Amino acid sequence: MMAPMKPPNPIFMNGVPELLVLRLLSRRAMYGYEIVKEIHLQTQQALSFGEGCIYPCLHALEGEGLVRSRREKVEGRSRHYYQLTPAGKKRLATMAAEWERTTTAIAAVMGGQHV
Amino acid sequence: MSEPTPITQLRRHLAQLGCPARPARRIADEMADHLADLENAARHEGLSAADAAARAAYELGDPATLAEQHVAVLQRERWWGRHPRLGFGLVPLFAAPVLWILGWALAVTIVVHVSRWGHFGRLDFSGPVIFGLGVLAMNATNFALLALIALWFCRLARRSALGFRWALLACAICSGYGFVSYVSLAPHSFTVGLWASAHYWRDVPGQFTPWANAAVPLLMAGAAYARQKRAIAEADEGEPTKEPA
Repeated sequence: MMAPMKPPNPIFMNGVPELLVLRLLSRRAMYGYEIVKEIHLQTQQALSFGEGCIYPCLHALEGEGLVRSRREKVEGRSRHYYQLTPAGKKRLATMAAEWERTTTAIAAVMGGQHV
Repeated sequence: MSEPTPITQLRRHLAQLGCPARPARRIADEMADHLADLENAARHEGLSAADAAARAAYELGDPATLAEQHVAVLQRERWWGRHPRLGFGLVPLFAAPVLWILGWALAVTIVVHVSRWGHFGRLDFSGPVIFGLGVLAMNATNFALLALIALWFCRLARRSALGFRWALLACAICSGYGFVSYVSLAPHSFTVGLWASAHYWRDVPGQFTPWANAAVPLLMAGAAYARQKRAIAEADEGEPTKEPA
């Protein structure tokens, strides 16, 4: 049985997975599967970042010291929970401000249409 | 023969790409947990175990692509991973002779200090037995230095998740350097340098053929290759993916 093809994400998505991951982790510690599902749910399936995007993104953020992880045993499985570090909070604030400025600028050019 | 699980395939691809063992274990652990969650979700939707496993594997994506994406992150984390041509093609040209000379400076310093100790200082170094042992120690030290330099580059390549080919390139450069460099011991003199001609080594006392020096870094490259092959074999054996609860 094959699942239906996932719709592709818009092409202008550079930096968006990082922003969304940092935003979700600013609320509480989460693990990879939760993050993938949460993005899918909260964007009403408009955005779907797969495992090949979210986990490398989490590892890169961890490498930069923006998130830290801890390992827990859950139902006999090893699970990594990620949480934001103070540096991650600062980066989130910067990225959110940049995002706000960009979307406002694009909205102005698009003449009031939703972008 | 049953098809390997997506996690076993992922482990194999990670090993083939030269992913270091610890991150590879962690990536495989996380992906196994994720796969189990995907399977659970599919079962909750009423799919059979086989269909749930097939859908979870599909949703997880191609293990080869997943491995490449993970390894790319590891490579970006280190300067050596971001600049492999520079790090393993150019740096060894300069670093190998510098490290070799520094190594010899350290070895000579140690020998000078040790030679001042009591009985050792009274030995007759011009005697044939002691001299022969000295030549042997000199060649062993030279081989060890060349091996250590090559191993250092192999280790850098492995830690930067670059795989075997970059380690081989650096080892080949070290091998070339080993071929043209020489050390020589004569009573009351010790020399290190580079060959002026391909046959010069024949006239230098106590010198092994330069092919021996050249072979040492290549042996280290061989060891790195064997290590990667063993990692791939271990990945193939792999632990079975845990059944979802």
